[in-house]
Amino acid sequence: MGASAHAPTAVAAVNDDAFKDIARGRIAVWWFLASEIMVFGGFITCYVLFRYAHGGWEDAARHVNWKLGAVNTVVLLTSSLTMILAHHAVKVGDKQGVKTFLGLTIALGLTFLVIKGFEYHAEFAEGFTPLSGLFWSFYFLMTGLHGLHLLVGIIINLSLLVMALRGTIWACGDRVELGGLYWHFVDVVWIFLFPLLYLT
Amino acid sequence: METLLESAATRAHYIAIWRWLVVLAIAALGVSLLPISKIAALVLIFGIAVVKAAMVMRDYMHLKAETLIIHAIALIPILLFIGLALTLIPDIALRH
Repeated sequence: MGASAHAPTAVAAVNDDAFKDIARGRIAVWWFLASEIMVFGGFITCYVLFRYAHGGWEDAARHVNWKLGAVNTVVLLTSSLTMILAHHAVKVGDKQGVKTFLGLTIALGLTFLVIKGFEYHAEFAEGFTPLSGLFWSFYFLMTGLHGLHLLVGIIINLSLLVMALRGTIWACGDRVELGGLYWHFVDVVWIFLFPLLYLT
Repeated sequence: METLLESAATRAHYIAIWRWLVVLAIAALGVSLLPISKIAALVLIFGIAVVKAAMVMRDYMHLKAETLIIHAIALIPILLFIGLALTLIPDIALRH
């Protein structure tokens, strides 16, 4: 009885040693991102295997607008830059910089979604829907899910911007880093979706 | 707190990474328009994508300064879905 009463304390001590140098928020976000890697990784794997198995998707893939996709790629890469600059501004105590770069990141995220909206509109107008074939099912599923993730990132950045405007962000500046990890992950997903859906 | 000089150098580094990312994105577009074999184009395009993703994760997500635990958390799911694909490829190749 006495030994078992001490067991939880011993376990806690071991865990504290293992994680003492890592901010718990970063572990939590990376853990969440690991589950996201499996979600997008699963879809990408299915897409590659289905395409390998069935072939003939080139004709469908020719209808996506690679020029708008390329513009969106640059928009998202630039938003990753402004996000990391917002994080850097927090680190160096640049109050105006935090607001400016978070605002730019939100604006670039919204730009991406608006361009994606124009793409969807044109594709629907041409008669391509998620039911138009396997390629289109995958296309709308993966880009739609990615867009939803971007929307969540925009909401996170909006809440960070409100905190920056109120001056309360300095008490918990690491939240910009955590929000940034999520934002960069969404960028990494697009880095693979763009060639997968637009260039091959 | 970083000094002004260090801060400027860090910002310049982030901007340099962004420039490389844009150059690589344009390179991938260029490869897709080249009259080369499809396999060669696929290898080049996805090779470029892997390099871009690695740059974002290393420099913007700061994986280069992270601990072994964070590396493990990031790497295990990547290995899992690569394993999933490799496991299923023979089945598809033999059926089709």
